[in-house]
Amino acid sequence: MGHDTPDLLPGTLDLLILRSLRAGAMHGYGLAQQIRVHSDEGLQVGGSSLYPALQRLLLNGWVKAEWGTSENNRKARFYTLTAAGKKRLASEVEEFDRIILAIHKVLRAT
Amino acid sequence: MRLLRRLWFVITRRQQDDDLAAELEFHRQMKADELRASGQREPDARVAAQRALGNDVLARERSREVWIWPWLQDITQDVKFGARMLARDRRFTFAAVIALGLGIGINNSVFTIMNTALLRELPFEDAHRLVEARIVDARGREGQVSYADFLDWSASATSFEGLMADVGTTMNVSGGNGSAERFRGAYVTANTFRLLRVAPFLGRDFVADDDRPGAPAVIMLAYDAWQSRYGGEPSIVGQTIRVNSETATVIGVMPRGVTYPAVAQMWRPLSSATNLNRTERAARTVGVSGRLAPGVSMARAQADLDAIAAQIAQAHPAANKELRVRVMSLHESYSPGDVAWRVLGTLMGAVTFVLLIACANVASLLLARSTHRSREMAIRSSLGASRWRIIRQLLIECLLVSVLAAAVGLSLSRFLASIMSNAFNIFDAGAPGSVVRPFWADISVDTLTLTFLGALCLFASIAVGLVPSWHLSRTNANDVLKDGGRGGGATRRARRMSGVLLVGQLALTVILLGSAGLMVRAYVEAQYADLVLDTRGVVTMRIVLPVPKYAAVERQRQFIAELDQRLTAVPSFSSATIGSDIPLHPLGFGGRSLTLDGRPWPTGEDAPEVQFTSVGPRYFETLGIAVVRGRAFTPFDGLRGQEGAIVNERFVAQYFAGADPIGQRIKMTGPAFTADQAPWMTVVGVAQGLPNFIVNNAAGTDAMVYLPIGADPAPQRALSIVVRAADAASGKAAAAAALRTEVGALDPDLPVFGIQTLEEAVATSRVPRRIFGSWFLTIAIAALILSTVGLYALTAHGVAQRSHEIGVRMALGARSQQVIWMFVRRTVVQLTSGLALGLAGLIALGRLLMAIVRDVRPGDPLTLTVVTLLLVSVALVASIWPARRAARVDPATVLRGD
Repeated sequence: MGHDTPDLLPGTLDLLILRSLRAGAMHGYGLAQQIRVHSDEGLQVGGSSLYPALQRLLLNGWVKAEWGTSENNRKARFYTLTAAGKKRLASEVEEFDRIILAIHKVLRAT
Repeated sequence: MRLLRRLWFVITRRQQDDDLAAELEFHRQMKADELRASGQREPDARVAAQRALGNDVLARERSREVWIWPWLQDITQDVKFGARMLARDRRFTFAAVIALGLGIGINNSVFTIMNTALLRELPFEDAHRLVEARIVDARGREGQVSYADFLDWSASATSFEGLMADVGTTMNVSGGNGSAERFRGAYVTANTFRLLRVAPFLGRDFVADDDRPGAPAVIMLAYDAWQSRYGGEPSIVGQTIRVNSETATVIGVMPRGVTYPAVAQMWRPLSSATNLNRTERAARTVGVSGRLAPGVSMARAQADLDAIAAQIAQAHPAANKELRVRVMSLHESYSPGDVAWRVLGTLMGAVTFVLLIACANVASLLLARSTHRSREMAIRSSLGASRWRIIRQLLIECLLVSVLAAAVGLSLSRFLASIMSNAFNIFDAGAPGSVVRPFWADISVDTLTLTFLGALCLFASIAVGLVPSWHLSRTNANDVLKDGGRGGGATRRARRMSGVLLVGQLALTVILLGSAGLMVRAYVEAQYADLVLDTRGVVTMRIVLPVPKYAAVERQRQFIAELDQRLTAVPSFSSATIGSDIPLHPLGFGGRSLTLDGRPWPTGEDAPEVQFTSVGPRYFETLGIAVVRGRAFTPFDGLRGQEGAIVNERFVAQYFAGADPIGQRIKMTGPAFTADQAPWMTVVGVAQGLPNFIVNNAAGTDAMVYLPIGADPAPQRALSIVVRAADAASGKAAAAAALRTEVGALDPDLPVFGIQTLEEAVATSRVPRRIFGSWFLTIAIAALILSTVGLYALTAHGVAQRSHEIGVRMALGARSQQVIWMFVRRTVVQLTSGLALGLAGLIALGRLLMAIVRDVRPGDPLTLTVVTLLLVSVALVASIWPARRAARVDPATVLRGD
């Protein structure tokens, strides 16, 4: 229940969301939960980062949104990956790995 | 794709907002559930959930920013806010829109005219592909082409879809219905209309066969000629008419508005041109135009013709050495030239001043308003609005006002432009210095005009917003909040800036008033000047002796002599004469180079030019020009070996320094004859000089030489006949009828045209001055009204603002005069600076005014004094009036109602 994890680049958050959506449709709250749980509480995404990120994904056509019913019968908006989104996920993961490796090399250099 | 999605978002904005709010609510509830499940109590759970969710507002804003560019959003907000503020402050908005609308409207009207007369493309299909080719001599003078050269060009040039040639001519149409009538016409090659892409709407176009030597004579009519002489009867096609003493068949009628090359009303094939020298390379009488082949640039066409011209020059060095070709767009060749640009340019300058004055007015209003809104601005700024944001808000309000003003201005400009263009019609009558309007010019609003309007709008809003923004940017929010916007640094600075603006307005007004005054003065002088000529009952008309009938000089002289005899015999004429040129007639044959006998004299290029008129007997007597020294002409003065000349007073002043010229010999040379053909003439008399505005100053000089027609080595075939009716009241029609009879008796095919009384000619010559005078006067009055209203508003506002201060002063014992003086003092200072700047500017610009109306004297003390007095009195009234209200302030009320 802390505040937003700082310094999370917008691109990275998009990546996390896309990845989380790979398993299936989810609503905003579910996404926040999932990210928190999978990162062992390491990443806490607040509303003011999550929802803008989702909008960005919508703008670029990587996800689409639909109103549906949640598990406890509340009206919720569900997001799903589009085909373009899947492609984007793949390329972004690749890119991200490459950068992390590079950063690692710099940090570990003697 | 993204753009479309953005668009979709903007359209469904409301829905999207609601959706997001619902989503956030859902998230909040889920979180609250989670917290409750892990043991949190009810109210805490909700609060904690909210905290976990984070800032709602931030979420929404950021989400929105993803879709809508934030700057666009801000600007939309500013626009909506600005519109609301303007709607609330109706008086300000109304005043600003009217003032700016006036400025913009006037500017746009002048531009519309400029566009029509000077900028617009010709009305032919793909007009920008039409070009004209001219010969340029070693001295850079442009001229027409020889027919032989044209043939070579047509044969060898590859860059053109086709080349066409034209020769202007007079077409004297006679027979049929009515007496002989003169039309302007042209001989053109058969491909002309095809290249122009216009076709006759009756009958057929020329074909190549029509243009063969010896082909049956054909003629094409223009729409207006068809209407006026043939009553619009379609049956004229196929009939024959008598033109220039020949019979020709009418083959077609061109649609309305086509009078190419300039004012031609009839066309015949070039091969039927009787006077055309087809072989002599030095006879350059043909105008050559053409259409560029598709894909060919003008540069390539130029190179093409350059090469061909070079070849011709080699083959014919005597005639074509050192001659080049210049290819220009047809549009450029039609450009009416310097005079039009100067006139319209000056007008444009004048109306720009008015616009600036209007902008200054509105800027002052804004400054005044800003002191009212300074509190609001200060609060905004302390809430975090950046300075730039506040300034942008202001500029957007200015832009809104400008857009409204532009709408007002557009309607005003269409109205004004049509009035002004009617004035230009008068110039087609050929007053001196006339602006020749292309035949297709009509005033209408096109994209260029609208673009200009948009630019004006933008300019106005920036000009208006500049000073208030600067003022705003210097305003310290703290100070404003502290003293409640009542006095203090910001307000004082605003007032100072308004003062500076006012000085600028006053200066510009002085310039405009002064210019108008000078023009009016020139007009008045011309109106009441001594004409020298006795214009009562004098009627003038013109004839043109056409070739081939009058090609021989002897034949011309014979005709003139016979006509002269007949005219003297007419009882209703007390006097009659013939001359090549008469005062007030815009014929303008230019001048001839002068040589004086018995002195060292510059020759060639440096020889001075004088005007000349070849005259028949009794010229001076008929017109009423006094011969002040020596004598008038006798019949012997025209005889070979005894040629005599009469000069005017200005000539004497210029070349003889006032000494007696009688008996001296002079010689005049011109381009149409060689120096040996020019006779030495003995000066036999001195004629009175005519006032400036009467003489057609085509040669740029006032010195005039009169010579007998008999002594002229290259007599003019265009002549003017002047008759003085015995009964001054008899009128034009009677004289015209008599003249037609006499001319018709000598040559029935020869029409008489341009019938005018001398009084009418005088009136026409005054028209440009009158028109410019009235335009400038109107512009100046508009400027005066704007400035005065601005001054009044400024003072009134100052009074209202400083009422507190006034109350204090009066309570401390100040008398009403002192209070009034407090305000008027500022006005006096502003007036003085404005006058000084304005008068200096006026003198500097005086030269410019002289370029359009010759007799304007920029330093004229009478005009300057009148302008100063006018402005001072108006300004003082405008400031004393509201200041008097200051004196009526009741100190008690003001101090109490703080």
